[in-house]
Amino acid sequence: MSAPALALDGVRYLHPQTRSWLPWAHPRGKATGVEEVSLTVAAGTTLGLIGESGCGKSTLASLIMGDRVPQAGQIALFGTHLSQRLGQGRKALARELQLVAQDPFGSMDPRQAIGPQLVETLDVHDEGASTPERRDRALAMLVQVGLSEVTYDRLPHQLSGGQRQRAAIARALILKPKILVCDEPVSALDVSVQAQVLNLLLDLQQQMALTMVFISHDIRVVGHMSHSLAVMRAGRIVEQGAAETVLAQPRHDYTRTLSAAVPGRISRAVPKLVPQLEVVS
Amino acid sequence: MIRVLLTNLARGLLAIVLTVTFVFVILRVAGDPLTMILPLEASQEQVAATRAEWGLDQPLYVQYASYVTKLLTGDFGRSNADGRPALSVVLEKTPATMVLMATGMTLALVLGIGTGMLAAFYRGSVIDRAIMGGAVLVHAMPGFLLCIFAVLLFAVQLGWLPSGGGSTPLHLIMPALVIGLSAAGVIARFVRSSALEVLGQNYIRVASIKPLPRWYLFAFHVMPNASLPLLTLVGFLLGGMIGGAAIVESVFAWPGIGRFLVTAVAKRDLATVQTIVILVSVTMVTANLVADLLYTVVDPRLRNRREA
Amino acid sequence: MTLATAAPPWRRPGWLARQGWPAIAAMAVIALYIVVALTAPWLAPYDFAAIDLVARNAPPVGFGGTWAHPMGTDDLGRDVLSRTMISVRTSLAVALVASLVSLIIGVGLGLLSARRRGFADGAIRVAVDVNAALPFMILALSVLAFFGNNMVLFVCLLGLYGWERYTRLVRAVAMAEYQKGYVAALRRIGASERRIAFGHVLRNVLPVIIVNWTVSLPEVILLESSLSFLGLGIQPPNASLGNMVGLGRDSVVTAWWIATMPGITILILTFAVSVLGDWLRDYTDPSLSQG
Repeated sequence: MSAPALALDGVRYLHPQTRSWLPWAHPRGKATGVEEVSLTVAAGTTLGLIGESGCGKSTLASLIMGDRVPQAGQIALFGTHLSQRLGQGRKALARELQLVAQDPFGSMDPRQAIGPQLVETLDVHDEGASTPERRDRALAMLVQVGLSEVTYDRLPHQLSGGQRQRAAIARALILKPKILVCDEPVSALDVSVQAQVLNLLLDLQQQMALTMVFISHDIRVVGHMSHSLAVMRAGRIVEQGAAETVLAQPRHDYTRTLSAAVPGRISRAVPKLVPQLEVVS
Repeated sequence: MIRVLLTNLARGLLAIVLTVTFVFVILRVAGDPLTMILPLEASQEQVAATRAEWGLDQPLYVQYASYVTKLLTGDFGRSNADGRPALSVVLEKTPATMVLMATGMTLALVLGIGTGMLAAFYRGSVIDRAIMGGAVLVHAMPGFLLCIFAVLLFAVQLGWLPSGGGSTPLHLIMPALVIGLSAAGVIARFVRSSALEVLGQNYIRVASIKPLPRWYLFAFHVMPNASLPLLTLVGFLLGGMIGGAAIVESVFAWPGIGRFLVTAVAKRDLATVQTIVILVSVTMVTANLVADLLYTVVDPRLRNRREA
Repeated sequence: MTLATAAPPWRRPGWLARQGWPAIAAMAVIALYIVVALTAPWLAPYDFAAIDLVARNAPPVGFGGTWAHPMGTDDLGRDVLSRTMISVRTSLAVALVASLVSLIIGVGLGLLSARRRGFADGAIRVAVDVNAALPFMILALSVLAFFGNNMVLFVCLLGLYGWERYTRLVRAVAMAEYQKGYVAALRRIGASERRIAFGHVLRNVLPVIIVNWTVSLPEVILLESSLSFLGLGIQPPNASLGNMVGLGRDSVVTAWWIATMPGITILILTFAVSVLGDWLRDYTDPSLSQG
């Protein structure tokens, strides 16, 4: 079997606690972050990661992206360790792995138009032979995420929330990465717009054979999108498995609480995982 | 709070030390340091003796050490002008400048706070705009031009005031006015915006429920609170006034260290220049420290960190 | 594929008229000064050093003089108007160069200290302290005393004025910018630090820099003219507005125009730049703007 797209093994990262000046005081409260996480994601599938705020999901996202170095454990992309990849430079990693963040406004330079920011991404990687070609690719990408060509010249604040998020997705995908991490990508959007963006992500996954890690606190959203699910709590994975299994027969109390909190059924948009790719918890 | 004060003190001392070092460095770079120590007509034996005495044939750090020691004992070299110790000559002239500064600062505060408050009181009206326009004008005015205008108006046209010298209080009026006016402009703008900020605060709204006339509210509630932040400007204002003193004293022939500095520069009397530079930096650092201290003492919010 | 792009607001017609008359007047005055500075050698009616002892100490037009010398002449018969025009050229050139030097130093240090905490930050903080300990005028006078007078030194000295304001501003704004999400996103894309600093952060810091420049430019002009007035800055035969006032100071009682004409010229210029600076500050204030 080929190496999974993403594999985490015993990863740990705890945020440093503020210490008091007094020598006899000890740090208060529990350390936050990732206690111990092991996950695998098969290529071309989506892993959904659910958990409430403070459980460590964003820390995990930053670990996967390489923004932080794990204090223990390993992260591997397609069999190669992340630290090795980082050693080759951020640019090389950028072609494989990208992130769509929660705050679409935050990932764009507020004083630059959308189109040029996409072009700049290509520029950094010297893709495309000439400026007109890069511009065409940027325009094509905008269309692919469902934005009109006029968006090219718009500034971020001139777009609606949903459009901004689409632009952020365009920028993440313009380099055609293999893995896309989505950290609460629709949490800041209106409910009506959420479905559109989610469906966009599903379409793009099909078109580009993306592997996705989809992080959210909302079990409905995650349930809709994922092939396999992992439930995170207080820095640990308390349950993981094929999405249907986890949703239909949750084994852990916490998962049960999460599903019970949602009225009605959770609609699913992705097909059931083929048995040999199922992950056993 | 003690910790903050100690840090400020340390930073101030560091600044003084660096200034002294700066003076030492440019002295050595500027040429033969002997020119600054001895009068021009010194004999060969005197030159040789001073060279040995000052250790000018020693390595640089030894020279630096002896230089600092000399400064600490008050030996700043001798002024070219009359061969007397530079420190005494400079200190002689200091009172005149201090009188000028004090008068100028008082004038600036009275005028500045007064007009700033007026502008805030009559906000948006012609008075407000006139005062603010005047403040900008005064800020844009070169100091020396203001001096010339003053001389033309009061001395030449009206003949009320003497145009130069420093013997009578009458001589003080024009220089103090010029120095005070430019600072008053800065103060007025600051006080106005500070007052407007205070007016927006809740405690003023509460106070204005009482049946008080508006001017009373201003005088006793707004003004004290709005003027307090002026302490943060002290360093800036003082620096500007000292800088301006050089010009004003020169034009009005006021016998202070500003004028003395300018003539010393023209005559390359390096001992005097170095003395004045070090003296000024010590004064500025002290003034800033005092202002910081006063501010924390006077503003009860900052005093009790626990409540913060 | 062609795209219709929205024009930036200042290219749309009628923008100028909507800015309010103080700003328009200030812009007109500054434009006039720039024209004079650029064309002075050809525009001036007389050569600025031309001596005409017959027409010595002629008063300006309206005070007993003739249109031959609208601003009067000095004690050597040199036309004050022509000398003023040439001085505008000198003074503006010096002030521009010096203010840009100070801008580059200040902004550079500001960006540096925003990126690298620790040593560089501390060193810069100390430099700011030292700066506060010594009023610039005193520092300038002492350097001029120790090194004497030459034009290059003088301009370099003026270039050291006011850098700490840029540093403080740029450091604050840049640090805030670096916290923003787009910097992290750019790093994830693989953009180099240099690209982030110069291509993005700087662009967002630029408005603050420009406003500060409009505040410090008049101050540099005043500083240069004050030092030249004292005879320690730009020396004759070079004409600067400051040294003209200085030379005219002795005859202020008998021939007041020699000193006041260049003096008022300075005043109008610095006033106009200040007004423009205030307008610019309001214009670029994000809390008041579009979008």
